[in-house]
Amino acid sequence: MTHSTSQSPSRSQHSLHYRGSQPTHIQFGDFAPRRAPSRGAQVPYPRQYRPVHSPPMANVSQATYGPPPVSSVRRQPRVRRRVARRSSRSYLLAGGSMLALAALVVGPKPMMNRSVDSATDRVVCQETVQAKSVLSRAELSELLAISERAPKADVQAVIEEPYCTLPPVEVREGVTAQRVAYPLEFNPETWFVVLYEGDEYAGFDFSFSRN
Amino acid sequence: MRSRLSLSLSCLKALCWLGVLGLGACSLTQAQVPSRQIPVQQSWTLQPGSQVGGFKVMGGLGDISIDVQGGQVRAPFDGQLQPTDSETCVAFTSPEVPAYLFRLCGVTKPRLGDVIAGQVMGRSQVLQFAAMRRQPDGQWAIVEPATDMLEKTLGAVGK
Repeated sequence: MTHSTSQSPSRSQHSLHYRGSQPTHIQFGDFAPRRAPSRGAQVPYPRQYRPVHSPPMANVSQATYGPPPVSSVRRQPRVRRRVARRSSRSYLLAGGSMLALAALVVGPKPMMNRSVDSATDRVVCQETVQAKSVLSRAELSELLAISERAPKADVQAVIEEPYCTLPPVEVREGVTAQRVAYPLEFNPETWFVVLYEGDEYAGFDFSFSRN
Repeated sequence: MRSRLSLSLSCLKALCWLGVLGLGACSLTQAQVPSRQIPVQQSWTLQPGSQVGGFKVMGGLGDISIDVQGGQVRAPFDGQLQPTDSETCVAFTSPEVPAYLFRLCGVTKPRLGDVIAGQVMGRSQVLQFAAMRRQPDGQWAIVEPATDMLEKTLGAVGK
């Protein structure tokens, strides 16, 4: 909707609407649409209109349209404003229903994610041991040759100090596990995570997309 | 007014796309997740999924049975939920907890695939929880799960 196309039909509506009852205003609206309509005619009309059609909308339209500064009153004849209010209301309705639909569709996931933080925290480094520590291909292949349940010293003979330690975790009742992480030299976003239980090497895994 | 109109139009478009994407995401998350074989070291005759006297075994030796009463089962860590050979059981593994696997039986409508810590993996009436530790030969030995781990899985941390 452009400014020029909307102006001519609304002006004719304006004149039709008032032809019977208020002939003085027709002339006023027809011949001087860009001049300020009389303040007396301007104010009572929207006040009658708003409560009849949609009382809850009164606040919204009051906030967006009502009582406008004098400059804006001059630019927009009142009937055009009524059309605008109607279309904006229908769009608001359509938008609202779409919003409700979208909330239904995508709602459950953010709700679950919100409760995530309260339940458990994502595992991050507890303490950085050696910031420059990485795992080379040679070290990795040597590590993979070590079987689970081997002594911790066997693993530590192959790899140097880890990049960081993860918070200790108790998976098995009565046994606290230590975890250390090594970014791969050839792919630093992938971490090689090692889990020890006491002096025993329990196993490893690759954690992807780490920072 | 023109800007308001175009704004609301673009909002509508965005919401439409959001809805489409949301539906797409929902269907994608339920896409095929490879099934997980769990060779259990303790090869007992009766395990979850096997039959006895024409009835289905829900939990075996080593499973902790918890009366969840239709409550939520949550991921204790960031990890992956996979189906198993048994219809009633799913396997949870986490790269942050190497060498361990959790077998959860009796979970209805499990959210298979990648899950993040604390995310709901499904619901259960009576949950059969088994913690397993990886053995050098690739088998999994059932071990006693820590209470803290179970609390995380039931979302009872901080209550």
